[in-house]
Amino acid sequence: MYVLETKGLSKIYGSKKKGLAVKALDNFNIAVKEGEFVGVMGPSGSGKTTLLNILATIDSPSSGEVLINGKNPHKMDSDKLALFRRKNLGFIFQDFNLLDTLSVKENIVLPLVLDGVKVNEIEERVTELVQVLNIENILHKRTYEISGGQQQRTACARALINNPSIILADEPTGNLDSKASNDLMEALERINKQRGATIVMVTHDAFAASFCDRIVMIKDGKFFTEIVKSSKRQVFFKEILDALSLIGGGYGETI
Amino acid sequence: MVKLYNIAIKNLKGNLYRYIMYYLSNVFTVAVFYIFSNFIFHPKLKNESLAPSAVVHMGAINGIIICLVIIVIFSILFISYATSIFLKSRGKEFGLLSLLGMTNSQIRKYVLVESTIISVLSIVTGLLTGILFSKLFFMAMEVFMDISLPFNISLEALALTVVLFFLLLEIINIVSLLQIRNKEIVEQLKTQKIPKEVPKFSTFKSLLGVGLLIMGYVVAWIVDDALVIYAMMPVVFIVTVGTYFVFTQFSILLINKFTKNKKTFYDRTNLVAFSQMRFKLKDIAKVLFLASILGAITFTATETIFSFFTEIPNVIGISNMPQDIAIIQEGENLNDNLSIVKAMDILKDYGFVVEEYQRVKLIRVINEKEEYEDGHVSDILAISNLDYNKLASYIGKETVEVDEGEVIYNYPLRTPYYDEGIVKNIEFPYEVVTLNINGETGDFTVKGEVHGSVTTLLNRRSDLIILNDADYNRISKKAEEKDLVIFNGINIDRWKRAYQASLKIQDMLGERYQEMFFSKTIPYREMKNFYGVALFIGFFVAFLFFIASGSIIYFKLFNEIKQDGIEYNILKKIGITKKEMKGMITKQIAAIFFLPFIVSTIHSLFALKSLSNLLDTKLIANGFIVMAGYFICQGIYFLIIRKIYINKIEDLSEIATE
Repeated sequence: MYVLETKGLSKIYGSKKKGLAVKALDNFNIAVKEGEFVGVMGPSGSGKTTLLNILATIDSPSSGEVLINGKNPHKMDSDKLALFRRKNLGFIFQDFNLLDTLSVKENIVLPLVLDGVKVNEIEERVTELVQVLNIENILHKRTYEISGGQQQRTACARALINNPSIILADEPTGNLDSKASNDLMEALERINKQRGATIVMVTHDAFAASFCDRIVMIKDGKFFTEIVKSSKRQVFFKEILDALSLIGGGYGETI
Repeated sequence: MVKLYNIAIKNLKGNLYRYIMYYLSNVFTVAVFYIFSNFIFHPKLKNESLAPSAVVHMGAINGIIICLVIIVIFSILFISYATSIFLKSRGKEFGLLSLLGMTNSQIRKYVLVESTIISVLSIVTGLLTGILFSKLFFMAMEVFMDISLPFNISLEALALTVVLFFLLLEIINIVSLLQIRNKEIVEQLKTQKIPKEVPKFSTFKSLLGVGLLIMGYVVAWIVDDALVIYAMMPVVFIVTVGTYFVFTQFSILLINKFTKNKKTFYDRTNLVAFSQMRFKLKDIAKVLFLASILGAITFTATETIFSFFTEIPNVIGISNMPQDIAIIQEGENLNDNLSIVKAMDILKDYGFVVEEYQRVKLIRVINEKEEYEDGHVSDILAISNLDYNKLASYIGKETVEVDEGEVIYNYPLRTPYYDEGIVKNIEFPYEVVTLNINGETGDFTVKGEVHGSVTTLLNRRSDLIILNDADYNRISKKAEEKDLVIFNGINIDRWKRAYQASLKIQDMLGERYQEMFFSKTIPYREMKNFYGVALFIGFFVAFLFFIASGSIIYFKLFNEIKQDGIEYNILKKIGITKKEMKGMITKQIAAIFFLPFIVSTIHSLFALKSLSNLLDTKLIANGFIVMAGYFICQGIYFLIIRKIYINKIEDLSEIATE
């Protein structure tokens, strides 16, 4: 049984009548087991963000289906879907998506508060989680008073607080410098290893991707190749770079 | 220029939601201004009086002129405030335009074109609306003032409205445009990106605000009679300052206290709703303060007028007049019974039923005890015990028994505490009176006095002295024609409608019955007209204020809507249902809309209490009726704004997803 499974996922933007239809995803399949840390990579326009949006249930596929814990969220009405997201999914975005009107702590506890969890339990979970993420000293600060790395770790905490079945991360290191990226990825790795969290991460960044167990490459909306980490991270990093040079689309130049 | 014009038009379309309330408020102001001035310039008013009573005529004309002035002053404030909000909210757009190489004067021109389009549009729509509703206004005035006002479009009023509002709008626009300074482009681009600090408050000022309010309220509640006039200005000042601090400081303190309590703050949507509200409140506090004060003034004014309107019989003292119509025959009219018959006929012609007709003969005697310093002695009207009891029992008043050699004095006004039964030595402090009729005198023991009139008479003629029937008959034999006064009291059904009939009777009776004829419908009707017009105009102006203060809140609210859109988009991704989102928005908008309303209502309650103390009437009960009316209007307005806001937020958070 997979935590996440897609069957023949396609997404077409625009209408065929106007002749401007673009196939962002074409019969794409992916399956993620519990406790896996999967990376999705591909050049710009390959459809990886579309894939993540569909997995995140904030966009719907043109055909095919997504199963999360065996349920198809795209068949739910919008309110049920919202509750489904709140209970089963955790999000980490490139631009953090924290609420400026709330403090760091308030941002983290938001999903629990919305679900009506008791104050004591909320406090317990926050205390435990912020230690893992190393943000216990900034809990009462405002979002604009902390660094990008801290903001992203706050977003991580928010994504984790309700123990979701799966965490979806969209270019989480995209707005961070290399030190902050490293801190974040180590934190994600700890979460994955220690707490057994299932993570699907879309990324551009081979360094970030090297923390994953497995990388799925996507090109022109289709499955391209898959590489699995077999030994040390440094080795895996080289393998990823090699695969990227094959896929082209701008990746070659970065080497 | 053509291209500039195109950009302006496109931009208008894009910012429609921002402008719509500004536009509608302007339309409404222009429409009201035109309706009022169309009335003032009505050709009929130039030639003839508006109402039979000069008071009503002048009152109505002056009232409307004052309203026109208020509308203009108010428009200046409103338009300049709205314009400055618009310009501030567009700092980023101007920054971008200058980055693209637009000169400041080009930007100004472009904004001016844009605002001129809105001005022209709102003046034209306003005039059309005004013309359309002029007819309705005239019809209402016809009802209130008993005149016929044929529909008329006054070109003078039209010209006045167009010129005045065009100049007003353009001048204010130009003045505020000059304030677009040459800020650094970077700064302009950043205008909206700077995150807001957590609102701060001072505990001292918060408590000071609440303290001042309580102080003002207590003074307003307890001060009585003439002192109210001295207390008024200080109290208004104290309450105004108090309100300011309550909105700018205490409201933040309250929310902060709330956010400290995790049990309630960490309760589902409260977390987001109250955090956002904290920022919104701080932003909008001054506007809410102004809206509250403005609201308090309009509430109090309209509630007072409404109260007078409903309490007219008490206010002008006709509620204790037993007969609807009174005609007095004396002197040359003593035997003119034909006029009485004619008066009855007129009433019948107008379809009224005479329910009761009383004819009482009174005798003027001299009360020798009551001698004034100048040697002049006072006369008083004597009534027989039988006649008094007949009149008294008709209005449900206690009858009295006067023995031979006794009198009872009847004081015409009702006085609190002495309404019932016979009392002694209050208005008539004599043990014995000597009554003199044509030189013959007789002493009578004063048994006491009864308060409250049994006859609708005029002025001091209403004083009566009640004699035993035997005594009365004796005096009556001594009386000559000059001493006799015949009181005719008529009660009809539907006295409030007998205005025309009463005027006809007045005409028929002519000069010689001046001050000998009284129909209570005449003062009643005139006061009703006067207050009716005042009430009608008052509500018009109140409605104008109401719309405008609502619109300003709307601008403020919609200024920040993009930020809200971003936040709701994030919340949507985390997973909130539509219902939860609507709940959050409703909580916030409701607070912002109803806070000033609640404060205004409480203010006006205390103001009414204070006015009641001064005027010795009960205003509060009637005040509640008006408040209920305002509450309904406010509620409808709130629902509309909420709907627009939610739709806009849904749009905004949708766009950001793609």
